[in-house]
Amino acid sequence: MDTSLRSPFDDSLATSGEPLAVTGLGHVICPADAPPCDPTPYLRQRKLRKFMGAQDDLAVVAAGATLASAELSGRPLGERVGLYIVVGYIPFEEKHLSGIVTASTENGSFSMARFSVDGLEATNPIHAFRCLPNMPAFHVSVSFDIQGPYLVTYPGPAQLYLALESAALALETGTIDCALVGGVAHQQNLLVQHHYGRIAHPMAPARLADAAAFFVLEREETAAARRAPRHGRLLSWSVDYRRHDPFHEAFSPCETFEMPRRGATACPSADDSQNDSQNDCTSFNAPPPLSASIVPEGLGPASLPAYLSMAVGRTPLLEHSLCSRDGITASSRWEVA
Amino acid sequence: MKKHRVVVTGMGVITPIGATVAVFRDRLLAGISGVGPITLFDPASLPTRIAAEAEMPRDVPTHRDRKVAFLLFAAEQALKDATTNDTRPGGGAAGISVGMGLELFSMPDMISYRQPGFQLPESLADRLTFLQTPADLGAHLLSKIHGMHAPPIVHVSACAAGTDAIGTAYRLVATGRRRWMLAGGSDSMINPMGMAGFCKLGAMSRRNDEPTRASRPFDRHRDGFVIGEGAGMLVLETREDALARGAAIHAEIVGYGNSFDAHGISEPHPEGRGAFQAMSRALADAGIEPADLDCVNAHGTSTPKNDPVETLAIKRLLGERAAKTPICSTKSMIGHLIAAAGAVEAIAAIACMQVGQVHPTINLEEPDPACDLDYVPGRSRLHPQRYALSNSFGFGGQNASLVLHLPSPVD
Repeated sequence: MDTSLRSPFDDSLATSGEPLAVTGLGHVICPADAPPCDPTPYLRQRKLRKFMGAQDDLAVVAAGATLASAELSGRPLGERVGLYIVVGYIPFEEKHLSGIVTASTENGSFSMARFSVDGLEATNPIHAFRCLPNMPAFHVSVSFDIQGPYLVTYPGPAQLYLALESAALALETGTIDCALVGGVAHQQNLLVQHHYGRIAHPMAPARLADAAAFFVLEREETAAARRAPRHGRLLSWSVDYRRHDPFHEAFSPCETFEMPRRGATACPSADDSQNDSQNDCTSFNAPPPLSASIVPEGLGPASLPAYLSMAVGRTPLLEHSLCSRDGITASSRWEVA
Repeated sequence: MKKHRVVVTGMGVITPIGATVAVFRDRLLAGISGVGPITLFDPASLPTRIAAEAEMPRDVPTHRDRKVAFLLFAAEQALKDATTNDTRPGGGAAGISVGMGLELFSMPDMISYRQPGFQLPESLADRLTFLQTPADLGAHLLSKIHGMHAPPIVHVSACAAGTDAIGTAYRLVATGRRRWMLAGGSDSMINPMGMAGFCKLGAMSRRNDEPTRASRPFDRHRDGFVIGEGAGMLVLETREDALARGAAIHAEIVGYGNSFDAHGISEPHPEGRGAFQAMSRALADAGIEPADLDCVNAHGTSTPKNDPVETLAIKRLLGERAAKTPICSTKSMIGHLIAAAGAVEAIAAIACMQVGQVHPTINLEEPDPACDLDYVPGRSRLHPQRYALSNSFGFGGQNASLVLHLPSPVD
């Protein structure tokens, strides 16, 4: 078994240039059985609503909240804003598969003859749109008229750092003036729960949340020029990688957030829940009723931006570190307003 | 902020018309179609029963997910191609940037899953490929096999993913964040669920009786795209490193641009706004003028909507030169490789540049009146090129373009 080799990455490669201003933050976390969050207020084209699945709803709501906090709402964002988004594993609900499966089965086995006629008939193309990994990026781009560069990657919390690297590079090179960076995962469904149940170090369904969160990054001078709100600064970050054969090796994940207290609870937990009966999806301006069973990894690629969003007003500094299942170790330090 | 020039020192492909770059190039120039009846499974009564299946050499290890096998094969070929005097790219942070297709979903597994008493397979490898196979496994496996230090970047921007993967890798090497990279794309959606999804959207050609004539970009009688499969991988490194180790340089990547249409879910902006933005950004990044372009390898899907809009965008970009600039569609011969398309088509563009030719757009028999540029119909053409543009415009309005440069001896 190959022992991990230290990457030649160092902080100077991972963090180049001046600290970047965090001018917007937002998140949405949906507990199980909560009504789906409603993106309608943010949609520029209402006709697209029917094409949207839960991951799209989450992404648009979180992006909308984030852009509002950055005072970038209500106007087309255009070419100078880039979108750097991590999407979780492809979601698919059992109820949407059932009909197709039943219509494609003969004598207990898959029948291509039946699938090609009855199964196809039972297939609703809308469900294809709702599960594709590039669709959250589409819906965010069209809802907020983002025409700039992008990175759409997958599937977990560590990839947020790869999105961050692309965004930081685009800001540093002046390709864009503003980067919307974040993650989205619709995880309370058959396919994602199946995935987390079969891997080494499985995660129970109760630990998986549907979540989306973003932050807005700008160069200091750009933020100052438009008098942007200041929610914090990205001070440093780094990424390392342990190459491995994913079919035979697995890493035990860990993810931590260190937050010195600012006279209040630094990290929301079940103890902070004000109202146990509150089960609606919540957005950035109220602490979410996180269940004690939800761990950071349970938020998928939304974990870092979500905790950053929740940290505002609670701590002056947030330090994130993670070791992901897919061999990535990463860390970052954030000044928080 | 670009510190380095980025060159291509290795290329590897597996396509419906060849599993080496040389064979692929020669068949492209000969106008050979790789489309035929589906043989990978029984398409039964699916509305579309044709596809462009990749030619997989017999001695190549198979994988339950074909795109993983394609990825490994193409990458190995690219690295061998990049090896000179027993030296290959090395030193410093190296990574993988790859456009990958959707997670493979198995209907037979789904039926088994619902049977009473079902139990998951015991081995991790079998569990990971049961019912649904994550799309990033191949990238990690590739990193392991070839000793990559940096985390792989998997692009899931649909039809633009392969081009985005190359463009991202180019930027990372150009700015010194990576020393060298393996970049490209791999995809295979020729399976029941993949085909059914596209059939249901009405996006694919139904010319089942004439498969080799089904993919007809820019033609008046086109009726949709033909799905293809395969992979294309490139080795990107700094020009300094390549020269220092005496590597042969195939081409230089000099520009990359991408954009959102922010318009329609499955149709492009009617004025080609996003396509124009991606192409413009790529040219600006390359520091060249539209008049410097010698050829465009179009996205050219053979769909009713893409082809005229891409034509419009190219006209806006090139102005009067649009009518004089050859535009070719690789998809006319190999179909649409989705996440792998941009990578395979970039290799097609480079390989043809190297021999001073433009490959044809086949099946262009009666041009759509809205598609009135020179698409190199039917036969390849001698056409020396210094700069070529390669386009990939994705479902969901993600657009990406690359500018490729064939260096002269004095460059």
